[in-house]
Amino acid sequence: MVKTKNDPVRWLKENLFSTPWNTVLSIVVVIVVGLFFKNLLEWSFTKARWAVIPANFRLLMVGPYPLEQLWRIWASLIAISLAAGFSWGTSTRERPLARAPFVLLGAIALLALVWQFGNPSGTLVPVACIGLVAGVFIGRAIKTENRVHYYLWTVLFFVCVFLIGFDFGRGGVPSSLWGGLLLTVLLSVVSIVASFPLGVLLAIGRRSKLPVVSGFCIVFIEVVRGVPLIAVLFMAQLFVPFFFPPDFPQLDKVARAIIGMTLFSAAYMAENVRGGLQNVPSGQDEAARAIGLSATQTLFLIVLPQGLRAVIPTIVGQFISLFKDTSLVEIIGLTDLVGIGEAVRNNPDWLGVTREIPITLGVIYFIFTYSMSLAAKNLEQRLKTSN
Amino acid sequence: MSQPRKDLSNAPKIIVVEHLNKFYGMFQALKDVSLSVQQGEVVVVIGPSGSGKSTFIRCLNRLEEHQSGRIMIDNTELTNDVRNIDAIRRDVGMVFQSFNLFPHLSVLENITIGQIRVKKIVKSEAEKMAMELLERVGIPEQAKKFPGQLSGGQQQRVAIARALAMKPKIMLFDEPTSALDPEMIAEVLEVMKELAKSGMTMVCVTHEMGFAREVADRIMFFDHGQIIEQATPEDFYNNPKSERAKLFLSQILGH
Ligand SMILES: Nc1ncnc2c1ncn2[C@@H]1O[C@H](COP(=O)(O)OP(=O)(O)OP(=O)(O)O)[C@@H](O)[C@H]1O
Ligand SMILES: [Mg+2]
Repeated sequence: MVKTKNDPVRWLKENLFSTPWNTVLSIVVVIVVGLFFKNLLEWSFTKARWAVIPANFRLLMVGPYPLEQLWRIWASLIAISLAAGFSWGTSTRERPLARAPFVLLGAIALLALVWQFGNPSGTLVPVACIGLVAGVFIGRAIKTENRVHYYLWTVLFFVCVFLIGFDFGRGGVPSSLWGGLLLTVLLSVVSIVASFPLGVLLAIGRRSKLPVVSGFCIVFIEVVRGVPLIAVLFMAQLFVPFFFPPDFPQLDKVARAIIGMTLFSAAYMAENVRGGLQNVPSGQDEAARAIGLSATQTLFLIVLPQGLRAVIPTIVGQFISLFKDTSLVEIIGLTDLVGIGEAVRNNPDWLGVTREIPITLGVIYFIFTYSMSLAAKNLEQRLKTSN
Repeated sequence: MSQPRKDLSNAPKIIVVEHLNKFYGMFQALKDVSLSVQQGEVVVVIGPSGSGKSTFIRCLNRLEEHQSGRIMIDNTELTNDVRNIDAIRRDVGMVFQSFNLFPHLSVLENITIGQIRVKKIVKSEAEKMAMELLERVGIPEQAKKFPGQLSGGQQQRVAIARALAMKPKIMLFDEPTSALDPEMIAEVLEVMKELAKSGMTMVCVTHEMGFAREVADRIMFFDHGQIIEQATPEDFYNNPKSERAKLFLSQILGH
């Protein structure tokens, strides 16, 4: 196989034209695919009106988010590029393998910056770039423990969410004005971050010796897994208020959607984690207890880390589908990336523009999901080398 | 030939087991087991497969719960009281047949985790002690590696170091060499012999006769969950009294 790699003619013979049937199949596929790409390219260079994308870029990115409040997004992006640079810098010092997710994160932040949306003068572009580079240098210079990154990103997470919505005396940005990619990312990141610990707790609870605890967890997991996400989203809109006293300020739609998605994702997460926990040999538990670790310490220091490692690919796969499934929030009246895309397509100014939008959305979704799966591969690789 | 190896006449009894019974469901794995072990004594437990050897030593640090009888470790009784169990586990180290090192932690972390998390010793102290222990078991150069990168013999020596890091008064070994390739058995036995000679109280399930003859003070022969015979290694191997021990020895000594 190694040899044939260097010999394209032989490779073709062996892989595409080995039998008459394969030859016919190869030719048909080449014709069909070739035709598709020929037409696609022809269309995109002649008829396509790509101007629709730059003209609506801000809308696609942030939806109806007010122009004069865009500094909040910029501040978040700059903070993210600084932190991404920092994490990248520290990780490349010891483990060159760990860099890819941060490269992509940085690239995504930069992509947004390059388009300069809401910042026509473009002054913030160099600021963010400098942030990224400065982060790398700080990361390389400072000796840090892994913990520092967890704290940093946790704090950053809250800072960004806060920045995006909070009233600083100049008026906040209500969640009804969040939209586009911003809303998609917010919904999925918050649900992912929240459902992870919740799912782990449910998985642990399911193994509990107390029948009340394990019974509750089993019922929750099975009920939620038995219901489609659309139904969960609807129910979250209708029933979340029941969890609060009647005179309590109502949670907005976005918060309810997040609660629905978090509960949904947590149930699947719990099952995945349970699978991982079951794969940890009982000798691990015994060895930990024998050196005097408590049951809780054994769970969190020995069993859980090993169980989670085993199911990283499944968990990431689940998060990727959650990211894509956020597009379902359209049905409860939120305008995420897909929703904005539809709105632009229906805009009379851009009558006749159809394919440009879905292609662009596809590319954006792909960038995000692919970097998630790259990050997962990376993490696995890193953990494998340490095993 | 049977010279006493060490003078244990004044040593206190550190393990006292009285009328121990252990059931798995309906099956009785231990039947009225009573014995005591003095501080500094090395006891080798042998017996056919399924005779209850593992069950017995796993009861000593409560990896298995007994149904009746008493187990006293260093004057503390093993009961359902979690504080007692924790206290006893701190005093009793255990080495398993399949090593059971933590694969996600480095060799050094495997050894320090107990000191840091249970004894609350600061990391630098714990690491210093871990390095000393790795010297003692002969593999200081492996400190930064992960268990999966070591040979079986090296892993078992790390496991011994991990148990020793808790400064136990008693060490339990459950067939520590039976998962090893023959060429690695010696290196682990060397470490165990050194430990025995340093005065550690040890209860070892092992069929390594050379080890037993060299360092054991007593052989305990188990069959069907009972202690059938106890004797010095010389007496036991040269003139076993019970028929079952004779049969067993003829089997392991090879035909
Ligand atoms: N968890 C368990 N549940 C039910 N029966 C068990 C369990 N563990 C052990 N037993 C039974 O108890 C008996 C004693 O087992 P034990 O493991 O103590 O034997 P052993 O002397 O260590 O044997 P070996 O030399 O094969 O390790 C065996 O008959 C075994 O089948
Ligand atoms: Mg056994």
